[in-house]
Amino acid sequence: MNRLLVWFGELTTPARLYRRGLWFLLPAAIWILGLLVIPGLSLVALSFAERGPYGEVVWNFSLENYRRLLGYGLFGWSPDTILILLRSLWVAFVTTLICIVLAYPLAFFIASRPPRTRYLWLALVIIPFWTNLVIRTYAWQMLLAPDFPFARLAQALGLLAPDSGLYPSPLAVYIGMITAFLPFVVLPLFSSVERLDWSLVEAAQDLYASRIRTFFQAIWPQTLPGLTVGIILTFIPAMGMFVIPDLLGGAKYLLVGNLIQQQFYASRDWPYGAAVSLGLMVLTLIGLAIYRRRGKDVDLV
Amino acid sequence: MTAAIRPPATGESLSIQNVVKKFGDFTALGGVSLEVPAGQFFTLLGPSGCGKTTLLRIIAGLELPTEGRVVLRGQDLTPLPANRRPVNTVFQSYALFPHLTVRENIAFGLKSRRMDKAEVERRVRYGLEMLQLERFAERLPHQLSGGQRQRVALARALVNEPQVLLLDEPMSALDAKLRAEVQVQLRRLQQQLGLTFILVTHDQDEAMAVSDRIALMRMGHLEQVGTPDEVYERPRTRYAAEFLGAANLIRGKRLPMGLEAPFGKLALGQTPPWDEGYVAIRPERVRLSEVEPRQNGLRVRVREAVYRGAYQEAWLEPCDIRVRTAPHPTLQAGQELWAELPIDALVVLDE
Ligand SMILES: Nc1ncnc2c1ncn2[C@@H]1O[C@H](COP(=O)(O)OP(=O)(O)OP(=O)(O)O)[C@@H](O)[C@H]1O
Ligand SMILES: [Mg+2]
Repeated sequence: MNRLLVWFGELTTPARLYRRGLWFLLPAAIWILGLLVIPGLSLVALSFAERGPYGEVVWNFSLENYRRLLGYGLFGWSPDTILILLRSLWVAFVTTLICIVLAYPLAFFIASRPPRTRYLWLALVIIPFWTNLVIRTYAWQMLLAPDFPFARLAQALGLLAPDSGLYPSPLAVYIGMITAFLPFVVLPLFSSVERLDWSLVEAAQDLYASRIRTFFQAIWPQTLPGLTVGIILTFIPAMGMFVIPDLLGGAKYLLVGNLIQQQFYASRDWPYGAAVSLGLMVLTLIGLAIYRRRGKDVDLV
Repeated sequence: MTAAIRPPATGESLSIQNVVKKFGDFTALGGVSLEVPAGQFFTLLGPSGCGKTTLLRIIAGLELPTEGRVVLRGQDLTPLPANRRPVNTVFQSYALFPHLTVRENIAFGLKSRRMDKAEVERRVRYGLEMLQLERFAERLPHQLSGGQRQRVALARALVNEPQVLLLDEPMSALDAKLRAEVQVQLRRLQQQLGLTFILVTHDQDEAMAVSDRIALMRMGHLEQVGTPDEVYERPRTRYAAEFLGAANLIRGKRLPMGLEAPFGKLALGQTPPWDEGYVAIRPERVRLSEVEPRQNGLRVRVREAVYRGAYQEAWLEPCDIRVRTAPHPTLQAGQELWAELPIDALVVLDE
């Protein structure tokens, strides 16, 4: 145990190094314990409790909340909660995907501007951040209202019943979500695009690659770091988003974020809310795990 | 090694016709015209910033000429994008794909052209073998040394059997010894395959060592094009004489079949075309002797003599001429002797 070793010029033993390492880790450990582990464990504990008649938490161990999560309610099995979970997954997935598709041309456009105007364009992407999400979402409500040009156009084209608005609808939710998350993909992607090694693009072209092959072999791999950050910053919050579906989706287009919010506010059913939250967390982790697995073999085209 | 690459077409050539390239109001190439016969090792030589890379990129299709055309075997390449030209490049930075293994890098161009699997396999194996890369086939570029990367870049270009291979200072990242080895290897490869190579370099020794022909460039223009010995032995301009090796420049006035230099008259093989101008002679062509030579002899004193191992160098007074001879133990500063400037070694320069 008293094996000696030289550590960056210092003579020491593994045990001493180990103890010192623990000291260095302590602040981070306290941080994680206080902000993540304790609340997380309380959530887990809460999800096994029961709701009292007045909305208080009754500490009886039960699996009732998880049965409800799987769809077993008072009136037998219904697919509602599972549908909400799957729908949230789907909405987050589509939102992320569309954001990526939109972010690529945007990031390249900005990166190709001369340095002076580049920051102007970046500012345009960032400015919406300075406005509260709720206010932005209300703005969409107004823009999509029945007597606004967008809805009028849709009505004229016969896509919409007369005198109805474009919201509440799934479309409105997607519009709200995509506009809210687009900057989260554009900014990290831009930082990757800005540092792009264009000689690889030239090499690909020199080696007979088509435009698509050039993109996937010479550009895409170089933007993966930025893209990954963008995906994580979009997919995870999109899974739990409740403001946008609440204001733009209406009662028929509930997402899991709304479900959780309802439990903690209107229904005052904290234990069930905790269970749904944990379900969401598991789903998100599965989504990220799939992404990481797939991310390893990016040999497209 | 089996002959995997089709026999070269001889005679047909790459032709660069009056190519002009402007970046804004800066003229990087001011009207370059060049014929490169098929199967030649052709070198673009010139100092930094003279437009070598720009010309190469125009041939590759990575840059559009402002004016002029690039014609290969009678076909105008100018309107074709880089990915449709039968030309491949070895980039100065190699530009290997960092996420692909050596094998995948070499297969890249073949897969782009949707060659069938067996053929891709065959050519990649051939490329790996040709450049002795078999052992590294499954490594990623960052796991290779500079010389190995350079070989991968070469293999990646060569397996496509390009009609013209462009090399942009491919050896600048290598140390002197490795560089010499690679030069020999490149030359051998080129002769084996019979392909047209166009090499860019600013290293005159390298240019001399490998080329069939050299184009000396200066500020966006071709200064002189010729075989290495033509360019070396018969430089046309002061610039050419000084860029390739060392040269003694002698200024003087025209005489019939001769030159009136400050230190005396010199006989020349021709009458200079100018009234006053320069004549050049290489230091190793100056002969030293104890007795007066029959023609073009100068009585000189050694100002300084430097022993360089393989040869000896001396500066002579009063004509200010530099000499390079076989080691000559008795040569010392202050010594008086005769120097001969042979007629066939004196080159009349254009300007
Ligand atoms: N994209 C560009 N925009 C503006 N000027 C350029 C551009 N590319 C090259 N130049 C200029 O054109 C001239 C020729 O450049 P080029 O790269 O061809 O030089 P080179 O002969 O290859 O030099 P080196 O030996 O240093 O590589 C240089 O003066 C350079 O500054
Ligand atoms: Mg260059």
